[in-house]
Parts: sequence; C-alpha cells; structure tokens
Amino acid sequence: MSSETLTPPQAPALDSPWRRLLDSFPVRYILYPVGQMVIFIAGAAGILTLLSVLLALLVPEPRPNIVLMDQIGKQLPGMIISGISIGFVYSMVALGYTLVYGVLKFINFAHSEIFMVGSVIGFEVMQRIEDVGFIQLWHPVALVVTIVGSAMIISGLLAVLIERVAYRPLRNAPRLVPLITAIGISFFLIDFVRAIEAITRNDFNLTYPTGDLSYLRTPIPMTFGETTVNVRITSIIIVLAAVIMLIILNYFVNGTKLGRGIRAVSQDRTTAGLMGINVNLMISITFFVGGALGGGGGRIVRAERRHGDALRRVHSRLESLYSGGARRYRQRDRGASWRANVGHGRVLLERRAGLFSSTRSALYRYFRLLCIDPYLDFPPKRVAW
Amino acid sequence: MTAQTSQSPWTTFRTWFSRPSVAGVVILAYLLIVIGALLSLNRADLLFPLYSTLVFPPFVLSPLVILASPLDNRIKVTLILVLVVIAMPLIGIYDSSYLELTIQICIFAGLALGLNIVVGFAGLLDLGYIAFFAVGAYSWAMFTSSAETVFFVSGIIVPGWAFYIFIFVGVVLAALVGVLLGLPVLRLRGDYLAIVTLGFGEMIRVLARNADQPINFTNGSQGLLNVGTPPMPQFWVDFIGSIASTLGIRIAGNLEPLAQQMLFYFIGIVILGVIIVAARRLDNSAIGRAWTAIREDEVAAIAMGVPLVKMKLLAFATGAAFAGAIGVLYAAKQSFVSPESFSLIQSISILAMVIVGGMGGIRGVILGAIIVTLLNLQVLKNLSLQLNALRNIDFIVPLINFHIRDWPTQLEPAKYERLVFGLLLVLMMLFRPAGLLPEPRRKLELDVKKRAETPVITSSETGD
Repeated sequence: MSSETLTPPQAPALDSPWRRLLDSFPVRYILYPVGQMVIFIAGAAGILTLLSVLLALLVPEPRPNIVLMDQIGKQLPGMIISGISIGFVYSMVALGYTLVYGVLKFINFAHSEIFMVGSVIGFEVMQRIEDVGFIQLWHPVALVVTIVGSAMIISGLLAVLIERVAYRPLRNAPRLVPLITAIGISFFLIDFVRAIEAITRNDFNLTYPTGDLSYLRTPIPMTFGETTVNVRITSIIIVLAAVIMLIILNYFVNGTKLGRGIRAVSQDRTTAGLMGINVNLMISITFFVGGALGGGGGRIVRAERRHGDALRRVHSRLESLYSGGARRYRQRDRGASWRANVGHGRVLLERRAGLFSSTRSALYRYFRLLCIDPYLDFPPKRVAW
Repeated sequence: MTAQTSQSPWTTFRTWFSRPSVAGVVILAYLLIVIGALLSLNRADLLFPLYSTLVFPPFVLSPLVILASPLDNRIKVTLILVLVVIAMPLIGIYDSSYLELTIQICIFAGLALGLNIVVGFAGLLDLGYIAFFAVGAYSWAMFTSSAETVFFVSGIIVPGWAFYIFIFVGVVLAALVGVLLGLPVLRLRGDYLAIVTLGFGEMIRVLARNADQPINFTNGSQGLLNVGTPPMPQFWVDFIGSIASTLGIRIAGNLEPLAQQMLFYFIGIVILGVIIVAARRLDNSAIGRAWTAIREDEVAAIAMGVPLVKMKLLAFATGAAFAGAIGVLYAAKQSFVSPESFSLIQSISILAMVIVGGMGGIRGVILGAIIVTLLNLQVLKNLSLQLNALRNIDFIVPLINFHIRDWPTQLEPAKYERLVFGLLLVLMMLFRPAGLLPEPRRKLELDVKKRAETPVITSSETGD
C-alpha cells in the first residue's frame, strides 16, 4: 500500500487516441462538467421521486382522494422542473461564493448583498434605457446582454472595492476580524442601497420596465405523458445562463494561466507570492469574478421572479422587515406547501455546489438560509407551474 | 523624551486632573449640569428630540465617567449608588421614557456581558446568542401568556410572584440549551463555529415560529400576548405616588404603569449588578484564566492541562445563563414575545456592543451596550422625530436654503440602523480592533500580531 503511494505516478500514454480525446477542449471543459451536472440532476430527481413514493406509501391504507401513481404522475414533472430552475438560481450564487471561499477561506457574508446589488443595477440601467426611450428599439437579446453585462461589471467592481476596503487591511488579523467586517459590510450595503433608492425615487418597489418584452412571459407548454407543464422562458434563460457561467468559470479556473494563479493562491498564499504570483491581483480577480457571477445571477433571477403583471419587488424583504413584517411572515406560514417545492431545488443546489469544488454543502445551506432566501421572495405567492 | 512630554498641555492637564479634589469637583459639576439640563428640557419644545439626544447620553455614561476618575473607590461606589438608586428614578418619574431607555440599556448590557463571556473571554464567536435570550423569554412567556397555548388551555398558568423563581428557571434552561449547543461545536473553530451558532440561533427562532402546529406551545408567529408581570404591592405604588407628589410632578393618567416601570428598573439593575459581579469574579478566577488560555492558543492550553471540553461548555453555559435571566425580565417587561424579536440582527447588534466597547473587558462592554442601545433606541429615533417635527412646520435650513419638507419620506434615520451598525463594525475593526475601552491583554495580543507582520524593522529599532 505504502510502496504504491511512494512510486511516482505513471506518465499517461499521451499518444493514445482515447487519452487525446479525453484531453481535448470540448470534452474536458464542456462535456465533462455538463455531463456531471446532468447525472447529478437526474440522480437527485430519481432519488426524490423514490422518496416521495415511499413517503406517500406511509399514509395509512384507505388513502383519502389519492390515487398514488396518478398524483405523482401529475405533480412530479412540474415539481422537478421547478426544482431545477430554483436549483440553478442558487447555483449561480454558489459559484461566486465558493470561488471566494476557496481562495480566501473566509465566509463572504456580503455576497448575498452583491447579488442584491446586481439586481438593482440591472433595474437602474433598464430604467435609464427606458428614460431615453430606446427600449423599444433595442433587440431583446442585446438588451438582456447589456443589462446583465453591466450588472456583472458593476457588482464585480463593487466586490473588488469591498475586498480592498474591508478585507485586505485585515488579511493577517485574527480570523474573527474579517468575518465581523464582512457582516458589517453586508448590513451596510443593505441600507446603503435602500438609502439610495429612498433619495432617488423615495420608493423601494422597483418595477422593471419591460417594453415589448412581454413574449418573455409567455410560457412554453411541455407534455409529459398526460400532464402539461408550462415552462417559462425566463427559467430556460436561467438554466442556460447558469450552464454557460459554469462552463466559462470551469475553464477559467482549471484551464487558464490566471486560473492556475488563483488555485496556487488558494493553496498557499505565501509560497504563491514567492513563486512570483501577484497575490493581491489574484485575490482581486477572484472577487471580481465572484461578484460578477453574483451580480449577473441577481439580475437574471429578477427576470424570473417578475410575475405576470411585471410588478416585482426587488428587495421587498428589506422594507417588510420594518413595515408589516408580521403580516408577511404569517403569509409565509400559510403557504406551507412551498417547502415541498423548494426541497428539490435545495438538493440540486447542494449537488451543484459540490460539483464545482468540494465545498461544504452544509455550510452553504446555512449561508443560503440566512443570506439568500430573504431576497428570493419565498414562498412564491403563486406557483406558476 | 520624558522632559518633552511632561511639558505638553495634555500631560499638565492630566496631572492636574488626577488630583482627587479637582476630579471630585469636576465630576460633581458634570453630574449637576447633566441632571439639571435633563430636568430643564421641555417636551413641548420644537427641538426637544434633538436636545434630549444631546443630553441623555452624557447622563447614562456618567457612571463610567465616575469609574474612570481618580477618586477614592468608596466615593466612586457611593456616587454610582446615588446615581442609580436616587437620581435615575427621579428622572424616570419626571419623564418615564428615560426610565424605559435605561431598562433597555440594562437588558442589553446584561446580554452583552453574557456574550462577552463567550466571545471575549473564551474567544468563541457566537452569532446565535439571541437564542438563549429567546429561551429565557419563552420560558416565562409560555407559562403566563393568555394566548391560546397548551398551557393556557389546560390551565397551567403560574401566578405573577413566580417571576422571581422563573428568573432562575430561565437561567437553568438557558444554561442547558447552552451546553446542548456547546456539545456539537466543541471541535469547531473560527468561521465554522460562527456559522453553526448562527444556524442554531435561527433554529430556535424557527422552532418558536412553528411550534404551534400539532400542539400549540408558542403560538407561532402571532407571538405570546399578555405575558405576566411580577406582582406590584400597593405600598410600592403609593410610595412612587407620594414621591411624585412631593416633587410636585403631576403624573398623567394612572400611576400603575410608572410604578411597574420602576419595579422593572430595579429588577434590571439588580440582575445587571449580579451579572457584573459574576463576570468580574469569573474573569479573575482560575476559570477565567483557563478561558483566556483557550482563547489565545487552544493547543497550548490543552498541553498545560486545561480541561478544554469542560471549560468550553462552561463558557457557553455561563453566557447562556445570563441571557436566560435577562430574557425572563425582557418577556415580563415587554409583555409580548414573538419570534421576530429574536432575529439575526439582534444577535449582530449585541455582537456590535461587545466589539465597539472592547472584547473581554467588562467596563468596555457596558460602554458598548450603552452606545449601541442609545444609537438604536434613542438617537436614530429622535432624529426621525425631529425631522418629522421640522417637516410639519416647514422648516428651512438657513444658509443652504434647504426645505426639510423636501427630505425624502423614506429616508428616515430610524429605519437605517443597519447602515450605522455596519459602518460601526467595519470602522471599529479597521481602526480600533480592540474596542473603545480596550482590555489590556487583548490590546497586547493585537499589537503583537501587528508587530509580527513587520518583524525586521520593529525588532531592530526597538532592540535597544
């Protein structure tokens, strides 16, 4: 056993055509991660199906109004699709978060606020375009790319700024110290954005101007056996965006020189510095990429969360905390069935988070519970599926 | 070097001020001016919120000022006792909102001292500290509330005098919960510990919110109404009334609420006093030294024979016990308990108190509790009131010609406590990580860390 570990690993047969295929770009950076993801999703969906059947069997025999298989056949496709969509939402946040955690090994409590800032920036940019009156002229794809791009760049820069101001001076301090500043920054950002919205429009309900983008809201019916599930185009966009983000990030971290630098810094900061890697630059880049992913995700999620009336509150939670918080919480309690919906997404998410790096799903679960959920407006008031 | 500094005006002032006679006169003048100013405020005044914001904090801080002065210890204790037992109740009779604020400060100072045991003494970052507070509050509220809980329905309602027993029940329950939390997190450090405790805090809150379903224990998100209060003897009400009439203060409406507040004030002061004494004694005991050892180097502490498991659990249990006692008081005082009173922001604001004041020191933590509580409950709120008052008369700021009416209605200072907290935490960590009143050992620790970053220059320059 020990002699096995001591012998140097056999050099791979480079000339083998099989090997060459595996090392080729499309397989290594596209097929492999996406395939892994598909397997995880299918596995999670299968396990959950099995679990729900087993749980349903626990109901004592004269089951009221339930023909078990019928019910499962009717509800499960919608549930799984909804779970996949929500799971990808989380995964977009998790990508940026896990990147920062991987490099600095500290919990970036402010990441959820960057997510929020991304959606607000997206709104502001769209509002500016609308003010000028261009929104009808632009091609929708160009519009979406512009808005998501601007949200990504600005929130990426914000993340770099936060790192520069609040984390870098404390890098060698005891570990509790940057953790506390992260909490402070997160609190500060919430109210800072609220203050800006209060000054500029004196209102926290941000309504995305949509122009003629209403076709985005028309769902596509998909048929599974005898049930039809309406899939919204926005959720398809979410899944696509998340997959593209994943592929790009995977290539960036594992395939480029900068990515190698980031990995080196995450392994050993001092040694990486001695090897000629600009540690500060690497950490800044990490924060930029993480922030950009968070911000872009935030903007895209807002497109999804906008319901039929195009009226969606961006950070309704923030003001509900102060006004009528109790009312909202009661509503939340009533919609007890939302848990069933979220369950799928949560498991998928943890799978996904585990895919990118082995980052701690439990850690993320707490993080998500506390920092992200408030901004996602759970439970959806009306399940659209 | 010494010759140069002794001539500086600051040093001259300090030597002059450190004479007990001068210090005594200055302190007395300070107290008289502050109390006089406080009593001379007029509620009908347009700028009343602003004035009271300016005058009340110096009064609340006066015990700390007295403690910092170079007076004889007996004089200090006497002065503080006079302040706490006579001056504050009189001001409370004059204007009961100050009494309310002082009770809140007692509550939060007690909580901050409890958290200080966990975070400051033992170095275990606990982000879910509010959970223990919730345990204490719910333990009293569940047994006395008139909400339709299982206890109320089945008639298990304890009488008001049981409050004094329930303070101990709260202590024991919270300590047990503290040990329960402590057991699984024994091996965790740093941010993992923070995350687990944070999750634990949320767990207790969610539990309180959902424990109404099969059997109604906590009445869910509606909260528990009409929580019982300790009984108020008639002579107490009469006593307060006679003092008020002697002073010639007419009390609007019923005398009972004021007497009740006064009772809570004294209970709060007693509990806070016990907590302060306990924290001091713990800090200077073998247990306190063990905690310090764990905080500074866990491995070294184990090697020196510190019973790690026992000490960590003890830290969690002690911190939790304080919060439990305070929780019982809080539930009785607010007479309403709901899960939303125990959210993450509460935990963070208690942490902010500990950090602002200075981790590990008792005086510093009380200072932090006073500052943060006043910011939260008085300064920001009063600024909002002031803005609204000025808006109502369409005040125009001179020089810049700004109409207060144009101030955005959503930009109310009272709603932006997170902005202030966040900024406070970040700035404190960046510029004064040891707090406003740093505990000497922790300051040393942070300095050593700072020096370690630039080892060559400092060691060669200060070598001789």
